[in-house]
This record gives sequence, C-alpha cells and structure tokens, in this order.
Amino acid sequence: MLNVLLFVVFPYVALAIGIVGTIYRYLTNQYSFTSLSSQLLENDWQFWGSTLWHYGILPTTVIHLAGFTVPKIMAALHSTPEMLYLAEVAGKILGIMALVGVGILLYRRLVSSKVRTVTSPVDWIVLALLFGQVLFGLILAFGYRWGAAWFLHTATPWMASLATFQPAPQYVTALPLAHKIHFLTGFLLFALMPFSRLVHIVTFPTSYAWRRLQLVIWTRRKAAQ
Amino acid sequence: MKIRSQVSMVFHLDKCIGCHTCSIACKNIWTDREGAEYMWWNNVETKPGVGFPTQWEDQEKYHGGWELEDKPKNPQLKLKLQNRLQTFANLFSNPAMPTMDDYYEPWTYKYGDLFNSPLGDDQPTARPVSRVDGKPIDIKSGPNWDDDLSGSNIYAVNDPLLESMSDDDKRRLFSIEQLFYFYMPRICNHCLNAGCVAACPSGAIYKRAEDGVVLINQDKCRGWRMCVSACPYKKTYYNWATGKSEKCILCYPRLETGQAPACFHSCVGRIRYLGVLLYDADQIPDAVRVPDEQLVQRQREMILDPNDPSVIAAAKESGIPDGVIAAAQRSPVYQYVKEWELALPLHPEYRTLPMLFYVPPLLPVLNSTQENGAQRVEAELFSSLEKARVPVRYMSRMLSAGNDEVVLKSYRKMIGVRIYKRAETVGDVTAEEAADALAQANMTAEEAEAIYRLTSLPTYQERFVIPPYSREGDIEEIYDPQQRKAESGFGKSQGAHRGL
Amino acid sequence: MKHKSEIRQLLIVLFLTAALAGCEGAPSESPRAASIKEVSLGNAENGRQLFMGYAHFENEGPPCMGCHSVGDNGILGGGALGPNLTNVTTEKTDDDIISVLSNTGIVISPVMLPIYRDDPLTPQEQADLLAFMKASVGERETNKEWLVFAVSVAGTLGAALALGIVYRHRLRSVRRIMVEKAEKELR
Repeated sequence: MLNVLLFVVFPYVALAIGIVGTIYRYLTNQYSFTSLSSQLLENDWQFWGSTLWHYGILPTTVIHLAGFTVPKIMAALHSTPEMLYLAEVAGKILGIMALVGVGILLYRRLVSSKVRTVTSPVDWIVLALLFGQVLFGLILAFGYRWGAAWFLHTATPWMASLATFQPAPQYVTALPLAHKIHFLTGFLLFALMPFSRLVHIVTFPTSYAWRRLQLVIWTRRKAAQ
Repeated sequence: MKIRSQVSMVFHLDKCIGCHTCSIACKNIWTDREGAEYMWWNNVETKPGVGFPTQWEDQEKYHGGWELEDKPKNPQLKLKLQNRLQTFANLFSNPAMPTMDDYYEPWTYKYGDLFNSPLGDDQPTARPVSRVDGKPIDIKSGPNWDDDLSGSNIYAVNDPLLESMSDDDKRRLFSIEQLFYFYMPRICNHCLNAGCVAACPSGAIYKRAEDGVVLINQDKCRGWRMCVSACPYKKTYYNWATGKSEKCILCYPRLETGQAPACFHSCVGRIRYLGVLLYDADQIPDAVRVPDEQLVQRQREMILDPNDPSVIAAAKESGIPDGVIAAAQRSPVYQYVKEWELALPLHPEYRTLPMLFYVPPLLPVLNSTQENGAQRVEAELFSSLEKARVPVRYMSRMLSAGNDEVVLKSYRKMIGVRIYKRAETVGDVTAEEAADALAQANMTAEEAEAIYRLTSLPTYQERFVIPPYSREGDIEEIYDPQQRKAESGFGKSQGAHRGL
Repeated sequence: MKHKSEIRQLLIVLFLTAALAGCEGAPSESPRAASIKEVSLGNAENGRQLFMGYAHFENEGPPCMGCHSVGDNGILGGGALGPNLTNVTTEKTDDDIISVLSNTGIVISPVMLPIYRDDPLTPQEQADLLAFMKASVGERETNKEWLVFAVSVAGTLGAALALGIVYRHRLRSVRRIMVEKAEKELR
C-alpha cells in the first residue's frame, strides 16, 4: 500500500504538479521565470561551483533521460564489461563534478552575506535537496555498482510503466532504501520546479543558435495588428 | 535603401561642467530601487580616469563590442565576447562578468543612530552600511571615485587610453600647470549594431524601429547577463534583486509625451542635444567592416540628408511618418554630426555604431610656455592663439578610432569659430586672422555663425527636437490608460516584485 | 503566444520521454526451470560469457555482472547491487539457485523477479550459469572499489583542471587588482 502511494501515486502527483505548475507559472508570471544569478555579487566560487555543477549535472540528467527513453541504445553502449567500466567511470566523474559543484554553491551561499541576501527559503530547500540527490546518486553508483546496467532493468521499466499508465512498482520496491530515496527525491524536485528557481531549466535559450543577431521591432505596427 | 529613424544625441564636452545633475536626475527617476542602486544609466566620468566600471575601455579585460576576423579577405564581424556556440558553453558562469566591486558597492548611512543612540561621552555617528547586505562597510570606491582627477596617481594613470600616448603627454598629467582633464557624461549609445542585442541568448533586447531606442523586455530577459559583457560601454547592468538586466531607456515615456529625457532636461551646462537622424539600415553590414581609420567617415555616410527629396521619398516608402521627417530636418544632431562634422562617436572601433556623438573639448588655453619644447602633432595647428591642452592623440583614441585627422578637423572648426567670434566681439584679433582661421577650417562665416548660435545660444526647442510619437492613439486602442495607474514603468506592466 | 518556443521545447521533451518509454517489449515466452538432466549439461565457459555479457541471453535479459560478482571477473570486478556469488553454490542448493534464475520455485529474488519474468532465461542458460558458479568456488574475489573511486576522483580533478584552463582568461576583479598594484608601486 505504502509502495503504491510512494511509487505510483506520488510520481503521478509530482509530474502533474511539475508540468501544470510550470506551464501555469510561465503563462502567468514570465517575469519571475528565471534563476536569480548572484554572479555579480560573488564571482570567485561561483565559477567553480556553477560550471562544475552544470557540466556535471546536465550530462547526468541527459543520461538518465536516455536510460528511460532509449534503453536499448544505452544497453548497447555498455554491452561488454570494458565498455561498462568506461561508462561507469565517466558517469561517476560527472556525478562527482556535480556533487563538488553543488557543494561549492551551497558553501558560497552559506558564507557570503551578499549571496545570502538574495537567497529565498525555497532556494535553500532546493539546494539542499539537490545536494542530497546527487549524494545519494553517488552512494548508489559506488555502493551498488554497476548502476549503468541495473538502471535499465529497474528504474527504466518502472518509468515506462508509469508512462504507459500501467504502473509496475514491483520493479523498484525491492531495491535498497538508498535507491528509493534517490527516486523519490527526484520526483520531489520535479514537483518543486514551478515553486522554485528550477524553472530556469526550461528556459535554455536554444533559439539563440539560429536567431538573427540584431532585433528591430516596430512597436507601432505590432500594436496596430 | 531601407531608411530608419533614430533619436540621436550630441554631448558638447566643451560645455560640460561636471556637475552630475544629469546622473542624479536619472537616478531619482529610474534606478533608486533595490538591486539598481549601483547602476548609473547616466554617469559622468573625469577623463583621464578609469571610468565606471573601472577601466571599462579595456576590452582585453572586458571583452565588449565587436572585432573583425583576423583574415585579409572579406573579414566578418564577430562579438569579442564569444561566438554562438561559446554562448551556450558560457551560460553557467559568464566569463566576462564584472563583479559589483568593479562598479562599486552601494551604501547608505545608519542615520537612525544619530537620533536613537543612548546618552554617552561620544558624539554618535552614522556609519556607512552596504545597500546589499546591510553590513557595515569600509567605502573603497564609488561611481565617480576619481572625480576631478582625485587619486590620479592610482586612477588617472591607469586610464586605458593613456597607453597610446607619449611619455611626455603622460608626464603632463602630473605637472600642475599643464595637466588636463575634462568630463565625459555617458548614457547608453543606442547603437545601430548593438553588442547587447546580438549577445542576448533569450532575444530579449531589441531596438525600437520608430526611434531606435534599445530596450530590454523584462519578461523575456532570463538574466544570462551576456549583454552586460557584450556592451563595450558597460551600459547594461544586472539587477541583483530581480535577476534581470536593465539599461538606459532614453526616458522613452518622456519622449513619447514630448519631453526631453531627464538627463537632457536637467543639464545645467546645456551641453545636450537630441534630434532625429535618418539612416540607411542596408549600409550597416558594410559600415561596421571598414578599417578603423574610416569608421567615423563611413558612419557619417550612412546618415542621410533629410532635405534631399529622394531621401524623403525613400523614407516615406520605409514607413517613416511625415512628422518624423520634419523633425529630422530640424535636428541639431544632424547639424553637429553630418553638416558640420563636429561631433564624433565614442569609441567607433568597438564597431557598434553608437548613436551618441561627442563634440571634443577644446578646454581653456594653456598659459604656460612649452618649456620642454617637445614637438606634437597639434603644436603647429594651434600655434597662433590656442594651445591644445588635451593631446590630440588622446582624443582620437577616444572619438575616432585613432584617426587624428578626424579630430583635428573638428578642432579646426571650433577654433575657427572662436577666432571668428573673438574678432567680432573682442576685437584683439584682426579680420584677416579670423578669415584665415575660417579658411584653415574650411568653412564659411555663415557656418561659423550657425555653429556659434547652436553652441552658445540655443533655446530648449532648438536643443531638443523630439519627433511626434502619436503614441496616445496606439495605446488607447489596446489599453485603458486608467488601468495602468501606479505601475512601475519601463515596459513592465506589473509591480516589479519577483515573488518566488 | 509570445514565447512559444520554450513551451514547445518542454512539451517535446515530455512527449519523447513518454513515447519512447512506451516502446518496451512484452514478455517473449513463459519461464521454465532447467531440469536435472539439463543442469548436468551446463557449460561453465558459456556461463562465464553469459554472466559477463560477452554473450547475450536468448531473450535479451540483462547480463548478471551488472549486479553480481563471481570471482575475478573483469578488471574492475562485477556488480554489487546483488550478493556476491563466488561461493554461492556451497551455500545454496542447486534447486534454490535454479529457482531464482527461472522465477519458478520457492526461493525468489524480488528484484530479479520482474526483470527475468519479462526476459526469462532458457533452461540451457540457467544450466550454464550454474556450472560457471560451481566452477568459480574458492576463486579470489575482485574488490577494486578503491580503484574505481580513485579513477573517478582523478577524472573529476582532470575535468576541473580543464575548466580552469579553458576559462583562465575569465574576468576577475579589475578595480581591486588595479588599486592594489598602484598602491604597492607608490609605496
């Protein structure tokens, strides 16, 4: 019963809150739809924290998503032990980068009074959760190797079952506690997205890759339309 | 020919008294808010000096503006900051982001302590506290910290423009009777090829086609801060409280209601002129790719004669209203920039095509004799009456991308006007000498008279020729003005509360 | 709608996640345990190939080493999510092991149950794996966790170093450095 609540109901609720809330906030409060950069106020730790964090967590997230969406390809990528080791070490490097990065970000927020000034309570919650999430991710990676392999046969079918509305929590309910915490925190963070600065994830400016550089707008003609 | 209109500006540096009234007018209207305290959309710098933010002219540090590709054949323009791909790599930590210390940390004083301190032996004091975190601070810098050359052995000597000067010129900075300085008020240049617009990953910055004002859409801005880095003039600022970038909006709400921008309106020395320029937007790509020494001339070529019938016809074709064309015909900026070629763009070598132009300062004559006898370019030019205080090298480095001749031409005219008027009103100069000065500057007595009039005796209406915006009609169609009461302005239709 | 592109981006990601996740195949055949006769025909070398993933299971089930370790397999060893199986055949009966492998008996692993119910092992594969486990009894066990950790930390330091080099020209404090330098020269 608890398992159904945690691994079926909660993920659906979290996804619904995350998606609906994010779209709602986007439509109603564009102005706040960013992360609040504090690079102007503190730039020494920010460089190390932010680059290590983002360069670590972005590929990690993409790899997780790829594991959910294209498990066959991901399985083929580590079909022999040697390739598995390579994938694992690469993943662990990214994970440690993210952990060190988020640790630095947490540290600078704690010690710099200027950065603390621009920190909201939600920022603390999100930052702490992210730190915990990455920490547990690394506990799984190091304590329960080889995640690259079992991920595709535990978390992936579970996520697939959720996506096809045929929930099968049994894929994950027998896993150790650390796994469960990692899974649940992931959904919790997703649910927190519309209530925090995490919305900046969907503002990634892809269109800059092709937009023309100079923008000239006729406000009058636009208004007349 | 694609004609656009630009509300353009001239600052006459010879008239600036460095009173900072413009800065305060702007501050009181626009940047007296949390997160914006450190911003000075309008600031006045003492030159030589390091400016605001510190050494902003050193693009090897700040990476602002554009540069031509380093190849002989058909070089393309690219942002000095980064290419498109690098933009994505640099999103997470902007590698050319000035920190608050490079501007200054805004502060206030604990005035309450003066009244609320308990009885004691010492006089209570109002200690300075940071406007960011409220902690007591030791004030180490400010927006005009090196005003009037204060601390020149720390600040003025580190002016990036001094690199190009001779040791003799540099020495003059420290000899009491020969030193020179002047004031340089700066606002956003509302460039035609703006670096900030090009660098914005979100596409939030745009140029209004009607008047050329460059604005940041506060809803679309995602706070990546690339505009802050890409603007070579460092005239976009990051608001640390709202997470958005902000910049000078040329007081467009005032312009739209027929008033001059606050900094123009309040200018005590009446150094500021505002008017419409018509220019050919199709020429922009070529104009920004000419060699440094041709940049000023090429920019002038883009600016079109509003009295030329073919230009008028093309302007109408491009959708420019008659009222704007009429305003362009009376534009004082057109006269200073194009007709008289007196006013020059600030740092054209950044290749952003700035549309704020400066008349270089002539400064009082140097009354001591030249004891070192050093030969300078300008020595012969000003030999009769004037001795230039400001080395031409310095001015050309600032206003003509190093082309001395452009600055000299402007100076010759100014001296011509001075000698001409002195012959007329004081009489210690002969008419022949005056005619000779005019001939040297290649101008007529009528032109000298016109320059004198617009420089010394202009009325409010002559200084600010604001085109009719007819915005009331557009706005009424969409909004009920009553609904818009008590809003924060600058394109934002709700109170600037960030919320989450 | 002004900012369509960002919403579109979000929807595409969500759609892809849902659509591709739905592509997982259904169970291919019903599981069957290996008989005693079949067990006796097990080949330890085949079992090792299957265990380590060099050879693929007929029904595409995941190789065992993702979660288990048997003796000295691979330069960095086998997995650690499940128990180490080096000496498992001395602790458990063949029936129990076959029961876990086939999901048919009394002893069942709750983690493996859903995985190998979808992609069951054939009796021959079960026999080969059992033979491999029997052959490995007493082998020295690989424990290279420290090596994995050390390599990962070294890699992280390398990545940080690379970032530091790429961004070595990043803008640092201009004013403070300038003033400190000038003041030092004046002194």
